[in-house]
Formats: sequence, structure tokens, C-alpha cells
Amino acid sequence: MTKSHHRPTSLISTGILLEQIVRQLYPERAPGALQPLQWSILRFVHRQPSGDATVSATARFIGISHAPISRSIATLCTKGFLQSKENKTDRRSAIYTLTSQGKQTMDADPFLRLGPGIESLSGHDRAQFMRQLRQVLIELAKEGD
Amino acid sequence: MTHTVLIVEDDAQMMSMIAEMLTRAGHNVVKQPVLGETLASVDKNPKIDVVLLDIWHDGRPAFDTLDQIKASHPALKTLVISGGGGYLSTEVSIAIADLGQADAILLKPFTRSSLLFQISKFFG
Repeated sequence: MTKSHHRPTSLISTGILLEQIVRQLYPERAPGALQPLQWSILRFVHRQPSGDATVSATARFIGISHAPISRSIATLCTKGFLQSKENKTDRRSAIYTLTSQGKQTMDADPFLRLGPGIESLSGHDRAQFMRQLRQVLIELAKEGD
Repeated sequence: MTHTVLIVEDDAQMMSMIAEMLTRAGHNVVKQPVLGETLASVDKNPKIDVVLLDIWHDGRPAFDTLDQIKASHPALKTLVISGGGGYLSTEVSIAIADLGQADAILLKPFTRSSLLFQISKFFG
């Protein structure tokens, strides 16, 4: 008997695998550990050519509202990963930069743990995997739009 | 050194601004406001050496267009620009563009100097 590829159990199993990948990437869920949103913020600041970012720019980039970004940035400053400096072009909003602790932390980005798994794929399989991930994500996002 | 840049951008104001930034620096510009005509533009203009591609066009992503350019014209440099405007966040959009092997990514709003610096960086 041919198995349907759309049986709920296979979809659940696929979801379980995807969820497990994320859980493996962020194993440290203790209160003091950096949370996924905080990592997103650090990565955004890190990629800026100027090395700094505002709350607004960060919120626009990640695609969520200002309030959670503002709270997370405040936490990251308290923990010593970010520091604020004067924004000479707009005094109403501060600019945030990575501290040296923040820069060092980027070397421990949990997404780097994907390395061995991704590198175990052949070049062709890797390209296919990326394309398929993209397709699944796009379909999910379109449904939720 | 002068280069020919194909600008694929559906926002007329942004297109005009980018074109001016590039022409004032001495580059040649080909304008393409319609995403679906990108490959035809590349095929018709063999002098194009950079494709500047806005990743969202009227709510539609340009990821497939990026794939097609990379597959059919691997020597072309692709510069993806993004400022949001689709059903994926900018963070996710540029991650996809990066996996699509865009040669460089610039976030809007970008300055004239960062654009020109990126173009010059492509050619050493």
C-alpha cells in the first residue's frame, strides 16, 4: 500500500525533527542564557557596517514591534553584551554597539552548531536542502500572511 | 572603473535615486522595474556586469530570479537590496538571499558611499 505523503503523522514527525534541530541549537534554556531574540539582535548589530544600530532599525529588521526589542536590548546592556552611545543624527534615540564581551560572544553563536550537520551533506544535497527549507518557510509564511 | 549595473526595482523613487547615485559616479545603468523581465534584460545587454536586485517586488520575493541569474549567468555579480515589504522579515529575506549566493547584500536605507564601495569591491 502506498503511503500518502500528506498523512498527519508524517507532518507531525517532520515538525518534530525541525523542532528538535532548534532545541539542539539552543540547549541552554536557563534564565541567564541568551534567548533566541537576543541572539537575533546581537547578530543584527554585528552585521551593521557602522557597528551600531537603533531600536527602530533592529525592530524593522527582525520584523517585530519596538517594545520587545527595547526590553531585550536593555537586558543585553545589563548583561554587558551591548552598550549605548549618543546618536548624533537623532538625539531622541540611542545607538547600541557590541561590547568586547558581545563581540567575543558572536564566536559562540549557537547557529554555528549547524556546521557539522550541514557539512556532512554533499554540495548538491546542501543546495537542495537550503532550497527546500526556503520553500517550506515561504509556504508557511504565505499562509500566515 | 566604469561598470554597467542592471537595477531591478519596482519603486520608481528608489529606482531613480539608485540610478542617480550610480550615474554620478560614472557607471552605466539599465533600469528594469518589472521583476519578470530581469533575465530578458540581462540577455539583451551583454555589457551588464552587476545586477542590483530588490528582493521584494510588490509583495513577491525575487529569490527564484536570483537563482536563475546565478544559474544562467554565473559571472554576473548580484547585489541584493532589502528594506522589507514582503511576508517574510528582512532578517529572513536576507538569510535566504545569502543562501541563494547573492554576492553582496545591502540593507535599505543605504548611503551612496556604501553602494559605490560595494560595486568597487566586486571588481577588486
